[in-house]
Amino acid sequence: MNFMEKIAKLADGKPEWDGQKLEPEPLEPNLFETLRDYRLSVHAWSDAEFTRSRRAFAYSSRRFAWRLAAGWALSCVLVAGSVSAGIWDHHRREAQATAAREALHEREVIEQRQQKQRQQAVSALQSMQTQQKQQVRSSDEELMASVDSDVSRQVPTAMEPLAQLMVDDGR
Amino acid sequence: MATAREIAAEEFSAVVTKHRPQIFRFLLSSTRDVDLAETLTQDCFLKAHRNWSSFRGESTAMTWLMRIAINLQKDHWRNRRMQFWRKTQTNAVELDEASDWLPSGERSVEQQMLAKERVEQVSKAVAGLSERQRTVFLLRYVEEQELSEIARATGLNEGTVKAHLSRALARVRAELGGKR
Repeated sequence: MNFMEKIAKLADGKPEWDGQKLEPEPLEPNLFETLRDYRLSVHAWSDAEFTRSRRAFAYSSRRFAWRLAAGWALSCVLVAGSVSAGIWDHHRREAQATAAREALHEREVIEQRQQKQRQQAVSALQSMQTQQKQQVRSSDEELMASVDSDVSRQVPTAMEPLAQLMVDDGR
Repeated sequence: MATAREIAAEEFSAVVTKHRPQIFRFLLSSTRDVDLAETLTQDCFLKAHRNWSSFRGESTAMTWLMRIAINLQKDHWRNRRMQFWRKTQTNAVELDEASDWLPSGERSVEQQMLAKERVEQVSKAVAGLSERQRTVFLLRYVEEQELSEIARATGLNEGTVKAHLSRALARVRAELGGKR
């Protein structure tokens, strides 16, 4: 009769309680019954966990395969995304640099044109001033000449013969 | 024609199928941690597989496997790297979880509640035992092993096993008596 059979007998309420022989020291019926309950509960718990852990392993291995595939897919998406983002950013920076260079070049061209226009305006102004000065000078000379001719024509008619004499003498 | 290695593999496979639930149960009741018990059970059978050729059959396969399991458990607790886990025991169940699995049988609700409470008290007392006392107690009252088998599995002599069992029972009695 093994330990379990003896406990079963005890559980059935049979009077063959033989704790002295069964145990190293006698066990009270209450304690014996409690230890039986403890063993039964541990057995039930262990059986449940043992079954569950095996089911969980099978389930987790399937889930692991899915997770692995999903992980790979996600990794690929992330890598592709980061690469394309890098390329896009590079292109954007290049376009910005080109636009900046073009804007700078245009600004330089405009400045050069403006400078040229200013120089032309200055030179035009200078030439106009020169012309004006020349015009003023020529008009002064004409005026003096007319004054001279006018003055010379104002010699009285009575003095005309004397004036001719002076010419004749060479004085 | 099957080779010696194939025969040994078949034998070992049969041993695993037969004894794995029992080894798991002992480790679970001792550690009260499902994940840890599963890991130690796997380690136990891995170690057994490596040393299967050196098993001479002087004791039963169960005793041999139980000895490996006890040593692995001892190593686990002694391992300093695991001290943190020993303190936290994140996956360890509450003391009353095992009692939730108590079969109702043909008891009244009141009897059932009383039995559950007493099982919880035993669980609490077992958790407070020293490692050796707990091992001896569980092998005797959960795994129903004879004292000679326990002595072989633990490497102790029968007198020492009796002494540990006696102290463990005293602790359980005190716990049950104190709560009445």
